[in-house]
Amino acid sequence: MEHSESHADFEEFARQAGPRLARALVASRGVHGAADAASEALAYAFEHWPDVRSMENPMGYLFRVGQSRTRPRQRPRLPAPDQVGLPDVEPRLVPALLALPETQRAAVWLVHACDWSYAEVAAALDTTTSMVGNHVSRGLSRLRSELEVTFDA
Amino acid sequence: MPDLLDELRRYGDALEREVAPLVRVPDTYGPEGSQTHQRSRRQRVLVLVAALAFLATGVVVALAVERGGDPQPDGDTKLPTVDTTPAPPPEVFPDATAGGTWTKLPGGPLAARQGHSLVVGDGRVLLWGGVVPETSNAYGDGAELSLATRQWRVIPEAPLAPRADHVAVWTGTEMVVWGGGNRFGGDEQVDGAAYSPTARTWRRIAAAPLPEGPEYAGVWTGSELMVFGASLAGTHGAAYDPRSDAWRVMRPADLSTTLDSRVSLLWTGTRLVAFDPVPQLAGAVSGVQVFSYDPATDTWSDTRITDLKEQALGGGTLDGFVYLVGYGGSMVQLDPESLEWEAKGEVIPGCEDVPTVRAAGTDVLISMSCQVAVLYEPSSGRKHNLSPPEGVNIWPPTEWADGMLVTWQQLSPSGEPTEATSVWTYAPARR
Repeated sequence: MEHSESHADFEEFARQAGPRLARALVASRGVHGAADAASEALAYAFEHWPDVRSMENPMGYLFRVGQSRTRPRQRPRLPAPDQVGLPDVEPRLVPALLALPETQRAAVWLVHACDWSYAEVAAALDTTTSMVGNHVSRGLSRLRSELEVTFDA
Repeated sequence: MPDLLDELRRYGDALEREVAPLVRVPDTYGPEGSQTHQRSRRQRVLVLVAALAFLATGVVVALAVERGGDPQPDGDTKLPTVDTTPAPPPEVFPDATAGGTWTKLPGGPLAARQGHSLVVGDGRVLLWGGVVPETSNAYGDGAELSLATRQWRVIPEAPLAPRADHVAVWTGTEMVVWGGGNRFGGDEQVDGAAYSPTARTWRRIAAAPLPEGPEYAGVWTGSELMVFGASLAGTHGAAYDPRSDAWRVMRPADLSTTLDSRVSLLWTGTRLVAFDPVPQLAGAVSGVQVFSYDPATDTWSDTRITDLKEQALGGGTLDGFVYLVGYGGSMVQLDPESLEWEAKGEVIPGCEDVPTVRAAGTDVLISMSCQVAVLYEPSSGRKHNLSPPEGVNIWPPTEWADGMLVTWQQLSPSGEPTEATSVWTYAPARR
């Protein structure tokens, strides 16, 4: 009974966490790399489910697991907005995002594209919330500078 | 005009729709999820390509550095390296007699020591200071363990002289370290500093209006660090408010008895309770003197002497009551308002050691170095013997935080450094 409950718990967790984790990893791994990394992280979560289940912030931890269990491509490949049904989104957003330093890109992406809290991002990037704030601020400033003709500051 | 943040979120939504169907969920009914966990040939090829790309990047970067170029002209080279290596999973041990769970965590980078502080706050265990065992050589270093990631990092150098037996409290945002000495009655300090693990910075705190000489003890009241000590000239106390970085002097206590040693302090939620054995000749003790301080009126109570004739004792508070346990294992329950006390009998007989007493949820946890520990239920008077894993001693400093007891294991019962250090937590069973 307990075993079945544990499986059910994990399946529910994986159902919710998988897409969210893949979304979080996509800015550093690209679409296919993020799927692989999220799959690896979920496999790790299953193998260590009692520990993962008791964590306060399993997403941040599994983000790190996903990153450490997969090798990064030199630069992730991301589809243009119009390829994913967003023709009204500024096409230069993607190259500008990819041009950011990795830490800034991860912080901006997790906070503003994935809606993670600063504390979650700090745990995922193994840094402090104030450093996350610095990365986000610098990253957004750089994005706005790149795209200043199109976007409000 | 389009909004950058809105477009980022919409792009994130779109990519989640793309990537989510590609995520493989482990087959929870297969062996270790292996049916879906096998790497595909495509993955292996990707790993190989990525490894080659990684090597090629390294060569390019090395050449750029050799030419004097900046491999990362964005200025992020000064940022701390992100260690994405996950910590090993914790080892979990059920307590066979009292229930609950013992969890072993990594022990961290610090050398074994005595007289250090252990503070728990903001999901971290912070260790600082102490001395090399059986010496007066003090440490001025520290390290912190993230309970979420189980990873350690070294605390930046403090603007303080090395010290041991100092006061250390968690204020909610900072660890304040104050006082201390070299553990052998020398180099007593009356200065302090506050460390923010979020900002990873120290700040020196305002100078305390207190004389050098006494061995001060301290407690955190929820808004102030209250420190108190005694000398032949009398008692000395002051309270530090970290919000204003200012001290206020506490009225001296008018005691009818002598305070012979470092006074032990407890905070009940509304009052400071101080206790100390009343010494007699030839090491005898006539009782334990107890007195209290009301910060609202800046007044001290009269002294009451219990008939707990113990040379040393430990204390803890739970639900507004004070529990004092003596060297021989006898316990009294004190009402801090009236200082009326009630004997509770022997909770740990036949051990004879300075006990550690901590509130642990709805119970009082009492432990001694003979590796005996009990959970005492005040509501029923029942005791539950604990069975810590072999080698785990619940010695000071320990902390109760976030529903668990936290202790750092690094010395054997005989005081010898253990081969490996470890942090242990104990979460009692719910009754």
